[in-house]
Amino acid sequence: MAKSNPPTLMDELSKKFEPSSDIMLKPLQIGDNKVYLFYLKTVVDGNKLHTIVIKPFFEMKSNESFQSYIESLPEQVEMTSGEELQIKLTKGAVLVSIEDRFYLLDIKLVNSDAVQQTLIEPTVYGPQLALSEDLDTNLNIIRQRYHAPTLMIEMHDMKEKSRPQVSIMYDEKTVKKSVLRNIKKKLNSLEAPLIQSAGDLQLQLNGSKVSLFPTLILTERPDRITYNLAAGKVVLMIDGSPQAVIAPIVFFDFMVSMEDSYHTFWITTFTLVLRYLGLVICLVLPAMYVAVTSYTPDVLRTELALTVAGSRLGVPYPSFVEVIFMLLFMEFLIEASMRLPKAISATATTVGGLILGTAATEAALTSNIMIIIVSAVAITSFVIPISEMSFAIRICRYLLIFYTTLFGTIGLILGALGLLMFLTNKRSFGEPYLKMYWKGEKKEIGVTTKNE
Amino acid sequence: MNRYLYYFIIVTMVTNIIASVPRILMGESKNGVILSMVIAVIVGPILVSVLVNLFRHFPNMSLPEILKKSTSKWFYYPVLLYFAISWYLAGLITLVTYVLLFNTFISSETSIVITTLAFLIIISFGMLMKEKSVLYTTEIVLVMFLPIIFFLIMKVYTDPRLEWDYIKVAATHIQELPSYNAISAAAFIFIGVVNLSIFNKYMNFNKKFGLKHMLLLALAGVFTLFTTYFVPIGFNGFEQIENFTFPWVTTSDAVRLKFGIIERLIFIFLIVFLGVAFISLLIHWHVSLKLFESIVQIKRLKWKEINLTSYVLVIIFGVIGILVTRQISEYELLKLTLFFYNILPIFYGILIGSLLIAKRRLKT
Repeated sequence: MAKSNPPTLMDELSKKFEPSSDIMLKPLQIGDNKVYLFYLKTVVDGNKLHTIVIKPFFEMKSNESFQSYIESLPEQVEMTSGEELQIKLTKGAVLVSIEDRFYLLDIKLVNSDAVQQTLIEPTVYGPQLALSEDLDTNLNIIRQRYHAPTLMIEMHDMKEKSRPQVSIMYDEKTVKKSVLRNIKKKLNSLEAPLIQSAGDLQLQLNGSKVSLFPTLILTERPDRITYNLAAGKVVLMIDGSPQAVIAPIVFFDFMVSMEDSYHTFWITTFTLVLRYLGLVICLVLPAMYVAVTSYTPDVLRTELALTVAGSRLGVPYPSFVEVIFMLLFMEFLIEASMRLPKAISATATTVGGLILGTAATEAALTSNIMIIIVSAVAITSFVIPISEMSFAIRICRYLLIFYTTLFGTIGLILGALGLLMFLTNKRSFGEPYLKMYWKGEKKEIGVTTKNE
Repeated sequence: MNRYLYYFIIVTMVTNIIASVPRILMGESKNGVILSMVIAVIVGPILVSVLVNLFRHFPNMSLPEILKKSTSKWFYYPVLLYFAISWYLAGLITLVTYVLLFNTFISSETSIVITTLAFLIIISFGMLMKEKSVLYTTEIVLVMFLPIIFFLIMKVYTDPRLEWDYIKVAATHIQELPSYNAISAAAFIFIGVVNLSIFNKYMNFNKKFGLKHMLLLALAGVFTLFTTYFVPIGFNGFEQIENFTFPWVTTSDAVRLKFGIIERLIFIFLIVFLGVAFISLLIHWHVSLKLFESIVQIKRLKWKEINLTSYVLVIIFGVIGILVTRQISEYELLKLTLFFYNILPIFYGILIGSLLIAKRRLKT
């Protein structure tokens, strides 16, 4: 007994989607058997639809066997109603109607599931491929690298406009329950109008709007993700973004490059020391220049003090103006070479770095030593593996220069200590941001966590 | 044993190597300072062990909580107020000493108020931090600075200008009777333990503070006091030493780093010790603030759900700090420090006494 009209639900749906040109309401008929399909053409994989729905329909003898075939398909998802159904249809579901019964099949077409090269955090050794822009592919990549039955993947549907799926991933064995609860609570209470990428998500989860230091890491490297999963951290991935967000994060995590895992002990130690040295230099050196030239030149050994003073001969303004002036130009240079297309960015660095630098010293607008310091600062700030941290440090540098300018040498020391205190006072989802971890922390009867 | 306890004691020891303690000891150099130091090294660790073992009976409780739970209002208000003021004074002495030190030796052109202000702005943030953050900061600063301090002290010890003969001359004064001033000043280096009264909340002492720990502390004390007292004498001679304002700093200026960017040891010395002194100040004033907070909570001072009492207290702390550093002379500072050190037995007495009372009351 076949009906000649499509079911009323489908009629209603097609009215709701009306002016859109990609709605498909298709009847399939052979003999007495009749089935209706409803889907959006642009998000559904046509080939797959053909092989798993249309072709079997014409090969089946009766509606009953086709019905049981559809019911046993792995693509079948739970049938919903109302607005939720419409959202599922826009995500690539196909609504099948057989004899007044409705089935929903997930046959979405994904064009962005190609795995990308690592661009942000390249390493010489280790995996060269990063994540893709498709959540399922990304989950597959992680599952392939982390074969543990304790790896849990929970899906979370965001409530805002673009309705992306967010996956919460953690190793049940190592994850800290309080942190996990904290993250889920925060994820549920998010009130952003539109979240498009992992970067967005990181910003929203970071806590207050005006925070300087990131409490979550944004990464594109699958090996960093598995490394952190094993350490008991929670990984969030959002559909459509080739980056993942890792939380909770402490300061030291920002100084780890994945390259560290691929080298021998001494090489790793050496590069790690280099990185921390770079951190200190790029943070302190400009402020130290201000302190030494303007406040206490007698700190340096006499020859060096004379060299510095000699090189500043003819510079018409105080040292802090010089430092800020030069550093700002360096920041402009970095910003310009990042924004420009690759073909032109080389010009910017040549003109800015070589020509401007030489000309500025020759015009006695700045001292030779200042040029050396600025270049040293620029180089060392790129030593920090995660760029968000290096951005935060860049800003701290100016705060330190400011405090040193106000108070002199004592300002430099106290400013640095203040920065340290700010970091130790920070928490990432309840975990201390900067804290010394000694070996065997768990055995040690240390500061208990229950009082916080 | 909890490592943070040791940090407290180490911080006080390091802070006092170059601050007021050497000056007081030098002043008493012909009045039996050696026997006094010996007594201090014995008494200090005993007091530490008594206090730690008393605090062990109140796990996860701070002193205000202990007293509020076990004693009545007329008792704990004055006691807590006394402690709060004492800690404030201890911090204030450190602050004034180091501001004077810094202004004398490094930036003599900067005004005292500016230098103090630099301290106060940063310390205000530090006081308002969470208790645990204070612990973490202490640890990190010590881990960064202690190796440098150790290197510097070794540099001083190995300098050829250090005359051991002078030290031997000083050591001949061993037969004199000990003086009270010297004992209290020398025993002051163990005062770090009393910070437990707030931080006991975050410590878990599972073991008794036994003989081994006391011996370790005594050894550290011997090293500190020996360095504090004898090294300046070794450089400057026994006769002149009473006249120095800051004997240790002057001494460190005698040492040169031949191959360093910074040639004169004194600068690294002051900067590194300043870092540790800052931590000492931070701990003292943080404890003081917490004690004051446990006494006064003004309910009316509210702004957007936040009680402003602690902010007001911090401002008062700062204002008094500036006024005192402006007014005080080095001589008055010495008098104040001496007075403060001398009343320490009363301080210990009240602390141990109130803990004993609380312990008995809680048992019944």
